Amino acid sequence: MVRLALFVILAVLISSCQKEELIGPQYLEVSEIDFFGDDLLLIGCEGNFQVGNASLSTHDLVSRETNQQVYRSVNEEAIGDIVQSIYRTGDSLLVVVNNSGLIRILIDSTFEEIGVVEGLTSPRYMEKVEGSKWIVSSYGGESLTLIYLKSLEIDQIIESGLWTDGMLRVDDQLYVHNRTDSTLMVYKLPALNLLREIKLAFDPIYSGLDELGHPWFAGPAEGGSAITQVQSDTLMVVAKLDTPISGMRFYQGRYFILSKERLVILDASFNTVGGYEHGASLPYGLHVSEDGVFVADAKDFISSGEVFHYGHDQLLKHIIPTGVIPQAMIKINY
Amino acid sequence: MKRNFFLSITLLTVCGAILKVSAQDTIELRPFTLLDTIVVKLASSYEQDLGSIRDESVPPMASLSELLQVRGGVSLKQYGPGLLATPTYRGGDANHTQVTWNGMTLNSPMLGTMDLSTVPLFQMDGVSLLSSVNSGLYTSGGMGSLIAMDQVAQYNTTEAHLLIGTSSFGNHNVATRVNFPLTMFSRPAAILLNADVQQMENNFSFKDPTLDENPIRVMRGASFSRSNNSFGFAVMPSDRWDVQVIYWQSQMDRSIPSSLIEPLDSAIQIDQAHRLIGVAKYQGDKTQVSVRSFYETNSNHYIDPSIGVDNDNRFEAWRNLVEMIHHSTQWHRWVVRAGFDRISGSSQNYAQVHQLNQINGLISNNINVLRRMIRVEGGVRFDHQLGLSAVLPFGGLRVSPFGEAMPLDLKLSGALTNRFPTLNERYWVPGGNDDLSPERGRTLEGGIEYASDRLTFQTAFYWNTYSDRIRWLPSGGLFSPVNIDFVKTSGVDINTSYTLELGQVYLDLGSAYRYCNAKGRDEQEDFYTLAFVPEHAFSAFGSVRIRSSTLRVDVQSMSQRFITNDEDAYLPAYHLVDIGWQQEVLRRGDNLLTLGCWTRNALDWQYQNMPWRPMPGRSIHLQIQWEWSD
Repeated sequence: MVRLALFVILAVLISSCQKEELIGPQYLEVSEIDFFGDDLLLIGCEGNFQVGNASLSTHDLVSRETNQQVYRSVNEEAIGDIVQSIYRTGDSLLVVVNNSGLIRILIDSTFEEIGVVEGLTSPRYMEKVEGSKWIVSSYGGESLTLIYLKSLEIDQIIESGLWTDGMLRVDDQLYVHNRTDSTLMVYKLPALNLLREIKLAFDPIYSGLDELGHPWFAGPAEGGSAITQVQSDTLMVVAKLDTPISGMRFYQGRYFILSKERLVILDASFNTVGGYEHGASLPYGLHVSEDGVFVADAKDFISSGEVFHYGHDQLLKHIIPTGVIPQAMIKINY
Repeated sequence: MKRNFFLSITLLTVCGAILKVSAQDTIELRPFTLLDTIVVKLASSYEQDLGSIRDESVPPMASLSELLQVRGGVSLKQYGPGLLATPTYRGGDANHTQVTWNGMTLNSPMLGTMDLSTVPLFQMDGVSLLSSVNSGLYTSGGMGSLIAMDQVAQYNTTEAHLLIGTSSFGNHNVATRVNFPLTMFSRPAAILLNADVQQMENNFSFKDPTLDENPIRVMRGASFSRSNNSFGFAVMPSDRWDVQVIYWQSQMDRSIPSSLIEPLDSAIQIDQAHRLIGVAKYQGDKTQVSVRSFYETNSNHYIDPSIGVDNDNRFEAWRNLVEMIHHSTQWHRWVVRAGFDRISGSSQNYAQVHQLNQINGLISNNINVLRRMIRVEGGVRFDHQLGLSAVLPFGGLRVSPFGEAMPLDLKLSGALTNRFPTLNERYWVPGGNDDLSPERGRTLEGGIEYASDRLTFQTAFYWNTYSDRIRWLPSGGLFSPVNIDFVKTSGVDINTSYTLELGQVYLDLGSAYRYCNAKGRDEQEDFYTLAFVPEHAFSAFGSVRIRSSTLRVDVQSMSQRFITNDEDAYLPAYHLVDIGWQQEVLRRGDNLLTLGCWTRNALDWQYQNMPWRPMPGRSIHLQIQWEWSD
């Protein structure tokens, strides 16, 4: 019996080699990408939460060529978990990777990584303060983080609402969406002193500036959605919708509002001037530029997504395949 | 946790001090002495008996998770040792597997799931794995499977067990179990005591694939502690009556490390549960009636300071069930059941305390013909809660073509299944959706079973669908559950077991293999492969005892699992081997002292069961076990 036991143990241990050291998630091979084009739509795809399959896709607006897994192809590693937002500053791109707690800095023409800011708590969105100082919101982190891109370091942590999200700079004031209690926190720049808090009747998710530089804010409210403008420190509810909105942009005197099935177009006075049904089954992001309207479709929130490209004539131009859960979109031209 | 620890130690001491109970006057008992939980199972459906601590091949102190994996070949989603472990069976999610204790549901009405890592196997007398056809006989929601656990005080068994173990990575455990019969007012009675304490630091080494050259790191912040205490009392007031009451207190504290790709600190989870079940059974000449009442208070507190999450989910559940089994003839049996549940749940994310009342009923009919060579069974289950109803027919056919000459059965069965939305899916703020419909399912299975004294071979081919599957999806910036998905799964389950006793040699072998093809889609798209469902899962166990020594080997293999629905990323396959040795070192009268040594993951396979959640490599477990039985 002892000999039998020893034999079994030795046999197992001797034959034990794990033939290939494959540990953790394995991804399909990504082909090398040599050329990206000069007129691109860059699409940040969140990926599945905690799976680490966020990605960047590029779409050449001229040739209509699309490349997937751009970051991984160039840098030979995964970009991280949940790409939340993308910004362009000079010849660099700033990619906020939410659940990895970092911001990647890429060369905008090659997507090669040149720096990383790490140690952030659930970063979501950024705004420039001055010079190379940027402020980063933190979803659940009870703070705003001031980072210094030159040194890639965290410069200062400012206490704030628990769930800060989007931000909007209006001259020397910074409006921060505080989703803890549906308020806007207004800071004075560049000192980042809290000036006041504005209570809203809805959860502020989307924001932007109209043609006169007045900020607007929108988000889910009871019974649907609400849009508010701030003019001369006065809060005005300008529109209420009976449906949740999944995106909102202001472009050339018009508001583009994305809902579950339709894209609605309003003029600067919030009168409906157009709209159409879009093809997205789970609209998750909106981008508007001179090239048209881009509606990101997260589909079933598990599989690869698509972006529907509509012209300003409201006709579908192209469907762009993307990675999983496309959301952030930015145009890059050189 | 300290209070419960001392309670456990006190109970352990009391149990350990009971060395022998004086034999009572012999009492002639009716043929049945074991308080069955449910006898209504369909004989035409798949069921696998996974054993108990009394089985030599089941390592003592195996958790329920390990038992399911090794003996059942069940796939689990495990985030690490001591972390959340939930089953996926035949393509179902965690909330499609119902877990019952003495016939009553343990799944949280708020989450819909049951964390298997909190269940002490040492406390249970038996565990069975049933397919979805049989699950409807117990409760709704088991669209994938049902895990039935039994715990009973036994009138004819006097026994005591004490087990002390220590293992690598700073893990320790102590468990005890005592069952002793006695008499009360000249009637047979029995007392059952269980206590279990497990403390795991989980400081295991692992290779980190997120860093260059996969350096070895040590897991930190993954501690887990668990204590379970139960007290049971049974009495037979008359020869026809059997009454049993069991109280089970459970507490679990865990520190949850973030995944390898997240920089955040550990979260904390503290769960507490108090469960009380009472069963009264009357056995007539042709009719058996049982009444069960179950009460549970449960608190699940999750704190993640890095992102400001502090959820404290609490629920109370009061479940009642009346069952009548009537044998109108020796060939024909009726079963009628009626149940009423009252549940209330509260959370910081609820606008108010929510309550629901659920009524359920079942009628089942079993007919044996041709000298029991053909058995036809069928019935219907009815459930109603919060304005939603479900009528779920089920049925099956079992044919024994050779009768008593050969124990070979051909089986075919099917059922409609459903799962009602949980309280969280309905009422979570923000996002809860009170307009959800129940998930609906269809299940069909057929197979062969051969069961002799020594050899058991069972196979089942199945086909399942899930409609209106609930998923949390974003809508206007908020996540909200919607009925959206359709899933179809098909496959085969095969399990075998073989025992042989020749003189002083005892051999116990078994294996389980599961093949599952799981596809899903939402309303508009093509089918995709379901993520995290392995196509192949295999397990085998074997033990050979020669005189006073026992050698055990367990094997688990899991094929690669896709982690995205479009198959562009996957977790690699893994293969685990556990080897154990037990030696009887002292046998004096009815006392037996055994020393044991286990090597878990003897191949030191580096693997992850869930993305970026490392699992331990090779570890050593030492244990000493004392048993006394009359």
